[in-house]
This record gives sequence, C-alpha cells and structure tokens, in this order.
Amino acid sequence: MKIIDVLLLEQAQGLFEKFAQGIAVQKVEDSRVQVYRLEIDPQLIILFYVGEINNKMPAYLVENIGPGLKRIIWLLDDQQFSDMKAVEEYGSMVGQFDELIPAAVVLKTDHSKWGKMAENLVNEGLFLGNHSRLYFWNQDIERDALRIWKSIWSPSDIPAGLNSPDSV
Amino acid sequence: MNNLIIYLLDENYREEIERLLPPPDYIIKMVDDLSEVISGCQTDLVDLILVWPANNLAVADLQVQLKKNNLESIPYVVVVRKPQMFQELLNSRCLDIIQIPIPQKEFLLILNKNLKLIHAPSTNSSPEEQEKSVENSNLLNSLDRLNQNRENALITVTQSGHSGRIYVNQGEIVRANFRALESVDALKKMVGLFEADTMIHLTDVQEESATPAETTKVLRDLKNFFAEQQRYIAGTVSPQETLWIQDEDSIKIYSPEDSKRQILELCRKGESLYQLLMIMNQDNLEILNNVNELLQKRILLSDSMMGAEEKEQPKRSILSRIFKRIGKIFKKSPQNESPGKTEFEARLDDKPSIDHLEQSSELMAGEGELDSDTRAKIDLYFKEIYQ
Repeated sequence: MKIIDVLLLEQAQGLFEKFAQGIAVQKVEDSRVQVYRLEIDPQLIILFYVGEINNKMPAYLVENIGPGLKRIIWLLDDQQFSDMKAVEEYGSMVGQFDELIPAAVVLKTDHSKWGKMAENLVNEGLFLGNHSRLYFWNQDIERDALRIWKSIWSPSDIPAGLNSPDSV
Repeated sequence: MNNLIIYLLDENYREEIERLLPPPDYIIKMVDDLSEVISGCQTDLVDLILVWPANNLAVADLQVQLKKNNLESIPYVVVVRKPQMFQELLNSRCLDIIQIPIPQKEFLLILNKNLKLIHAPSTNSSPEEQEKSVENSNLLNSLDRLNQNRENALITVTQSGHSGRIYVNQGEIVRANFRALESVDALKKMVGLFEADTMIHLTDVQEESATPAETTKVLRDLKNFFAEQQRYIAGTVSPQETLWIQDEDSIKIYSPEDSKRQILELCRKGESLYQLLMIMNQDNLEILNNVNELLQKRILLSDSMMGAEEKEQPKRSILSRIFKRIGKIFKKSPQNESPGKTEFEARLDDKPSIDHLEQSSELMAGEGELDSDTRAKIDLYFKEIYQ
C-alpha cells in the first residue's frame, strides 16, 4: 500500500471540511493530530495532516510528515487574510520543503474579485512560484472545490515538452 | 557499564528485556511514562534511551520533549515490531532502528555497536570536520568490513528526505539505489554525501545481484572516487558556504539541457555545495567541475566572494514571497481605490510570461514528485468526481 502525505494548513477551523465536501475523506479518529484519510483505491491512500494557521503548529507535525510529504495546501480566506498571525512561523517551518514540494494556495473568495481572469488561469491556477499555484475557490458555487482538487493533482495541465530532462 | 533508560510501551516485553540486558554490563531503568524518561535523563547520566516497541507518535513526542528539555544530546534507539514501522521511522532522528524478532546475539551486537559509537573519544579535529569525515569513511569502512566478514546487511542512507539503500549479501554488494540512481552511480552518490544518516541493519538479504562487478573492485573504485571528490572540493569552495547566482540573466547563458544551468537554477535562492551534490543526479565530479567553472567565471558567487552587504541579505523562502504577493493583492492601495477596477483585477492583467510557464515545469520535479502511476490514479479519481 502506498501512502501519500499532504500537509493542509487552514486559516480557520473547519475550512478543510468545507473544501473537502464531495470527496470521501474520513477523519482518522485515534490520531493526536487532525488527520483525514482519502482512499483512492485499496493500494493508494492520501493522508491529509490538517493544521490551523492561527494556532501554533506542533513541531512534530512537520517533522513527522516532512520526509514523505508530496503536497502542501494552504486554505486561506480573503476576508481575514490580513489577520493571520502565525504566517511567518508557518512559512519558515514549511519553508524547508518549499524548494521541492509543490504547494497550492487556495483562496476562498468570490467572483467579484476575479471576474476578469482568463479561464485557463482559473482552472490551472495562477503562477506564484516554481512550485506554487494560487487557486480561487468560490464556496457559493457548487462543485467549485472539486475543480481545484482536480487541478492540484493534474500535472497534465502543464504544457507538454516543458519538463526539462535535467529535472532533479 | 552502560546506563540505559527503556521507554517501555508494552509491558509484555519487561521480563525479556531484563533477561537480555543484565547488570553489571547494563544498568537499566524501565519506565512507561514519557515524563519519567525525561526526569530520568535529567537526574542520571544516561548513555542511551531504548524505545521498546516504538511507534511514530511516541518517537515524535520523545523527540519533542528531549528538545524542549535540552536533552537532545542523549541518543535513542528504537525497537520496532513491524517492518512498516521500520520504514516509517527511517527518517526520524534515532541513532538506530532494531527490528524484532531478532536473535539475541545479533540484538546485542547492534546495541553494543551503538554504545561503542556513543562512548568513542572525540578527536582533536573540529566537530564539523570530524562529523563529515566520520559520515563518509563510515559508509566505506562499513562496506569494507561487511565484505571482509562476508556478512548480510541492509544499509539505509538518508539525507533531507532523500533515501537510498545498499543490499549486501555474503559481503557482496548485490544492489544499490538512491532515488532513481542504481548500482555504481547510486553507490557513488551515497558515498559522496556529507550530511547523511547511515544505518546498517544486519539482516538477511533476498535481493538478487544487479551489480555484476566484483565488490572488492567496486570498493576500490569508490575509495578512489571519494578521494578525488575530496581533492576537488578542497580546490573549489568551502562546502558549507552558500552559493548564489550573480544575476538572473546569467542563467539564460546556458541551454536548459546544460547541467550548469541546473546548478544556477538551484542556486537562485542560495544553495550549499553539500546540498547540490545531494540534490543533483549527475556524477559528483561533474557537478564539482561545473561549479568550479561557474565560480571562476563569477557567474556563481560564494558567501565569501560576496560583499558583506549581500551576505547579510536574508534568504527569503518562496512562501514569504507568495504571501507578500497575496498580501499586496488584498491590501487596499490609496492610489487604486477606483470602483471600476480593484488592484487585484489590475494585477491580473499581468499575465504569466512564458518564462513562468517554463518554470512551472519544475512543479512536479524534486521531492514532491509522484510516480506516473500514482499521478494517473489520483488524476483519474478526481476527474471522475468532478465529472
């Protein structure tokens, strides 16, 4: 069985559960940290380790999942964006992986703020850095989160031929 | 005499441990509570903590508490019951992992090897030099020793989440891998690492030989390679120093296929020679040659080559930049409060350039990379849900 670790940092408690509506995540009850399990098939499991950005992150969370980490997802709310307290702390803690681990920043916002955006950018995310994309999530639109879930894992959205053979 | 604290997580092992580690050779204190482990370390001169049997959370908690109480210098060895625990704890900071059941003699052999390492007198060389030389000579020496004694072993080498394995059967290296590297390439990469954790587990190896060359010859070549690497490094730059690119334009001098370009890309935000050698798959001597050339052309600069001002410049992580960018988007600007177009909308007019798209190809490269089969499965799963 293959297990993929994903670190999910939410700005407010419960944001992940809303974002994950529609995918069959199950809370791992006997875990000391907030962990959700998604069974892709019997041989492939994704574990989401959920941390709240405004609370101090337990050091062992990052230390534990670091080696097997495949994605970092930041779930943010544009209404409270400027109120985030521990961003720097999280940034530096996760920063040790950011050169190598693809990150997705998902911003809960509404259409009025991104109405003019090109469709491909809406679908494939806005470039933030080599390993980072920004996605906009409109909670009022049914299945909008699913669009992002699909895109986060979909490397085929990257134009063919651009992957360098020298990638390490 | 060895003073051990046994962090006992299953009472069923108590008697067995008492029989296995008798006084006066071993003075053991068995406790089942983490706070007692910590207080024991604070009041006694403890040589080693044994976590028996270990699990992820207990080891993580122990690690946190040792750090919190300034007891990080006390090493710990974990005993695991299940092979999957062995895998999960490979990257923890433990000194060694012992998988049970195991013959008593072999258990004591591993334990005493670790205790010997703990009690080994320090040399007069600087701690850094000592650590580096031990790391490297250890792996070569261990391979030598296993070869001479015709032993079976599985050696794991890990650094920053990158891991490799060497399978030794009857003293012969039958297989080696490090990331996608195999055989001699993998061995060279692992021998050339400077900050790796090396663990040797004396265990039966079922792997069939994928390294046709004779092990004694391979070892001789590895020693030559390591000596050559050291010679190169001595003539290049201090390996701990951070290397920086002179300017962004210099990257474009080289074609995307050129490994010098890859070095420059990696040094964009500063990278040490140690890390370059670890991250890149190319032969270490080729990397060192290229770094040397780039340094000579001053396309690449080391800390010591840079002025004091630049040296002080903090290394900003990509996440800091992300948040700075998003922060700017949602920060109200006094010049741009017209109802027609928000600052965010204005910023969206800046479409990503082709450079950005090219850079995005690196998205799937590196540590976070998923193999194609896994990617396809996940991709299909979410596509089906979205439809």
